[in-house]
Formats: sequence, C-alpha cells, structure tokens
Amino acid sequence: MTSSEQMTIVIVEDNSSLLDFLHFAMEQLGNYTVYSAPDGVAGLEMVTLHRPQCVVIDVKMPGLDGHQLVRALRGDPSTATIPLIIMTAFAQDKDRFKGLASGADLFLTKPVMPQDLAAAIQQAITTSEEERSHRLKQLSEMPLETVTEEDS
Amino acid sequence: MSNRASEQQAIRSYDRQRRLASTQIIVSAFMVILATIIIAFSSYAIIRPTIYTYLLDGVFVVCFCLYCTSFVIARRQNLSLASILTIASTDITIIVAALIWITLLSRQFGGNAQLNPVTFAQFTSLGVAIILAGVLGERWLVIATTILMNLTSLLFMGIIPIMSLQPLFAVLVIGQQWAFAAITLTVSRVYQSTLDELGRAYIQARKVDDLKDQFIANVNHELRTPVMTMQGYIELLRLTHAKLSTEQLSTSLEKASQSGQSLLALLNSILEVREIDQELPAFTPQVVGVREAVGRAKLLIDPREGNVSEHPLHLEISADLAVAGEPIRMQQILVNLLSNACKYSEPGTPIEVTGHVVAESAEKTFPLALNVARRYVVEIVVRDYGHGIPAEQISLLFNRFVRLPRDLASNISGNGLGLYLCRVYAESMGGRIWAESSGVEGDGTAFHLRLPGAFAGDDERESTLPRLRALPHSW
Repeated sequence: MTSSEQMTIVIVEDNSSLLDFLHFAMEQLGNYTVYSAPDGVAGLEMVTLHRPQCVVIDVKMPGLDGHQLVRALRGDPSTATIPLIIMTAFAQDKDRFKGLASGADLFLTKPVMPQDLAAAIQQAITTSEEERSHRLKQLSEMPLETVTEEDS
Repeated sequence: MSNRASEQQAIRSYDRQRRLASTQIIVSAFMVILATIIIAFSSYAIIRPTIYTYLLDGVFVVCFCLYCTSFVIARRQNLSLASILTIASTDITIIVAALIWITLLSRQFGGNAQLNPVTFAQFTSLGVAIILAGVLGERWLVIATTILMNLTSLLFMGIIPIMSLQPLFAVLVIGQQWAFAAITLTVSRVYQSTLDELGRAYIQARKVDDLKDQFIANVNHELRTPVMTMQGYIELLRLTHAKLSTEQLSTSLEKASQSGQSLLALLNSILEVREIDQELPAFTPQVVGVREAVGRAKLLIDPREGNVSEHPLHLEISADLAVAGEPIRMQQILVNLLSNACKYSEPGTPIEVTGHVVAESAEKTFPLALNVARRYVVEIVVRDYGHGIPAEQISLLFNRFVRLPRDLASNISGNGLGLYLCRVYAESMGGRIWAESSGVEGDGTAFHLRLPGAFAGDDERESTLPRLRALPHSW
C-alpha cells in the first residue's frame, strides 16, 4: 500500500469536540476518508460496514468501552487483522499494558498532536502481519493475572 | 463486600493485632515474674525439701514452659490458642501460689493457715486472672474465669480453719472478684464501642480517599481531552493554515477557544473549592424568597450541566415562603440541585421542588438563624425520578471530589464538587442538607435543604405555624 493511496480510517471517540477535531485534522493531514463514531457500538458497526485500513479508539466510552471494542474486533476473523490504535487520557503504565494486551497495535496517550496521530496511523498500517502476530503472541505469553487484576 | 462487612473486618483485624501484641507483652512480663518465683521457690525447696515443694516447683516450671509456648504461638499469629494458654498459665500460677501459701508455707511459718494479710493478698491476686481474661479474651472468658476464681476461693476457704470468719470473708472476696469482672467488662465494652466508631471512621476515610484517587484520575482524563482539542487545533492551524479557507480557519480558532473555556471552567471549579476551604466570608442574613430563588436558579443552569427544559418542573412553594440567608449561596445550592436532578434522570421524567415550614427540635435549632426564627425552619426538597443513589454511597455524597463509581464510568460530566459546595453553603447559612434515595432506578433521589426561615414576629410564632414575612418587591 503506498502513501498516495486513499485510505479509510474510523475514529471512535465519545467527546464530540475532540471527535470533530480528529475528523477534521485527519482529513487535512492525510489522504484519508474518515468515519467518526461517538461510542463503541457505533464504532463496531462502522468498522464492519466500511472495513477501514486503521481504527483509532478512545478507551473511556459509554456502553462498549475501548478495550471491549478492541477485543470484539480482534475476535471477529473478518476484522482481526485491521490495525488498531488506542488513544486515551489514562496515562499510567498499567493502562498502556492493558491497552496493548487487549490487542491494539499502538497505544497513544492524550494529548496527541495531529501529525503524531497521522504518523501513528501510517506506522500501524505498515506494520506487517508477521510483526503483529509475533507481538500478540508475546503478550499472550505474559502472566494472565497482570491483566485480569486490572480488569477486576 | 458491603460497608458493614468491610467495617467489621477492619475492626476485627485491628482488635486481633491489638490482642496479639498485648499477649506478647503480658507473656514476656509474666515470664520474668515467674522466673523470679521459680528461683526463689527452688532455693526454698533446697533448704526444706519435701514432696510438696518439688511438686509445686514442677508446676511453676510447667507454667513457665506454657508461657514460652504462648509467646511462640502469639508470634505465629495464632491468637485463640495463645490467649487461652496465657490465661490458663496465669490461672494455674496464681492458684498454685495461693495453694502453696495456704497448705504449706503458712503452716511452716505460722504453725497453721490463718486469715492474715498474706492470705488476703493471695485471694486478691486471683483478680489478676479476671483482668487478664478481659484484656486478652472475650466476654464469656471473663465470666468463666470469675466463676473459676470464685470456686477456687471457696475451696481455699474450706482449707483454712477459721470457720467463724468464712461467711463474711467469702462475701468480701467473691464481691471483689465480681467487681473486677464488672470493671473489666465495662472497659472492654467501652473499648469495643470506641473501636466500632474508629472502624466506621476509618472505612469512611478510606472510601473518601479512594474516591479522591478516582477523582484525580478522572480530572486527569477530563483535562487531557480539552487540552488535546485546543492544542490540536492550534498545531493543525500552524501546519495547514495556508491551505485552509477563511471559514475553516475561523471555525478551528473558535473550537480551540471553546476547548480553552472548558479547561478554564474545570480549573476554576477546582480552585473555587480551595478558596472555600480556606475561608468563607461572613454575611448578614437577608430575606430570600424561595420561589423566586428557584425560578432564578432554573434560568442559571448551564445547558452542559443539565437541560431543565427536558423535564416537567413541578413547584409547590408558597409565594411568600422565605429563608434568612445569603442570596448568592442560596442560588448556587439550588442551581446545583436542579442541574443534578436534570443530569441524573432521564429526559421527560418530572422534577419536583417543594418548600414548606417545619418545626425543628431544640437541639437542631440553627445557631446562625435570625433571632426571629429559632423554632421553625424552611425545608426545600428537590426530587427527581432518576437513577437514584445506592444507600451505602449517600453518606459520601457531600464530601469533596466525590463522584460515584457509576457516574465515573458513565458519560455524565461532573467534577465531584457540586454537592460539597451545597453542604458548605448550607452550613455557612446555619442550615443543613441531606439526601434520601432507595437506590432503585426510577425512584430517584430527594435532596432536603433546611435553612432558617424569615418569619413574622415572635408572638405569633410561638402559638402556631409562623406567618411569613412579606417579601420586598425586588425579590
């Protein structure tokens, strides 16, 4: 996939001001067709409908939260290989680990500058399938309680 | 785990640690005392060896070994066994020491057993076992030990050949032992009651602390989002301003500015609490019309904090009902209560605001009330039919930075300061505020605000419900 090719991305974020901004910024900075979803359920529908090249997901959302959305997408064979980026204001290491452990490719801590988000999307898209599988395998071998403890 | 179970666990844990520490200290002290007795008694046994002296010396040594075992068991955190062993060792030591005097030593020194000061001291020392049972054991152990000491005393009295004095002495000794038991049980009861109160306060403080941590995490989250939006627009304009249309530039700047305003509002609300914590200025009570204040509060609700037009608002407030307070604080309380009622209930559900005069008992009379309102107060109730509040979380509501776990996980905005400010303002006006809710979805919550009323003269007030003072036209 070349950088000049039109790419589709979905942004899932419950804060309407930020969602407007991200939509606008990604359209300005990259050759993206951007779809916005205000919550996890809408995001899931949007991804299923548009089959984007990348999904940017907030964590704290009503209903289906970001981690649940990532797990749902990874669990569905038709969406399991879509690059996923978690972007959250929860900035601690445990949040980062939890985000990556749920199956996301990248974890970004707010505030994220628009050009950094564009670069992250580009990086996630160019991450090879082998790299993703290798990383997910490494995460799956980590002690389960480290993740479930946070979940509880 | 429920609040009560959590409190009980904290209390039990503290009490257990206290008993374990006490056991170790008491056992150490008693080991020193018993070692001294063993040395003294062994020396005596060498001088005057009899089968009794060897037997009793052996009993002391066994008790010393039991103390050592108790100490080790206490170190290994087995409280029940350590307590029972300690109490048993002490009982045996005291009884055996008394027995030695009565059956052996007093005969050797005095020719026969007499009711002398040493004998009396021996009986008194039986009280040590009762006190020890109170310190280390439960209530039943105190009573059991007291009965055991009563029986022991009666047995000894049977051995001492002074029959004429026995009834009086028996009453004295047994009365003394039950007095020890009563004091021990009373102290134990007071201690347990204090421990209960401390446990409740500790759990409450811990919950507030947890909620504060959650709030800090929440504020961190809430701050980062407007910062990202504002900074993002600025950065985007820096990168792409050349290719943006005038309209896009204008919109972007406006949205960056709005995010800045959100950020500022959040910071201001936090700083407002800091200022209130430092000092709340004194005020001269004024007559504040309740109906007018509610009407004004309705207009002042920030649409982002709750849309009052989505709820039927039922007012049941007499036109001349008035409180004696500070108008701005009164208004802020009502704005907070109304916006909460809007936020935490579904659109279309009613909100009721009622106001009436109630009689307060003397001890609840407000100290800051106008001198015309010492007995009757105004109660304003703001009731919604929304999500309700779980019973165990109601007591936390009026603390700083408290947002209920359910709200933190939801999309409902808030900084956890509104109800805290309501409480501070209500108390500053000599009033109080509380919430009632079944916690059942749809039953909602009723917030009760009581403030000193602004009433007519004293004479009428004493006889019947007060006539309300006419309000100035400006209200």
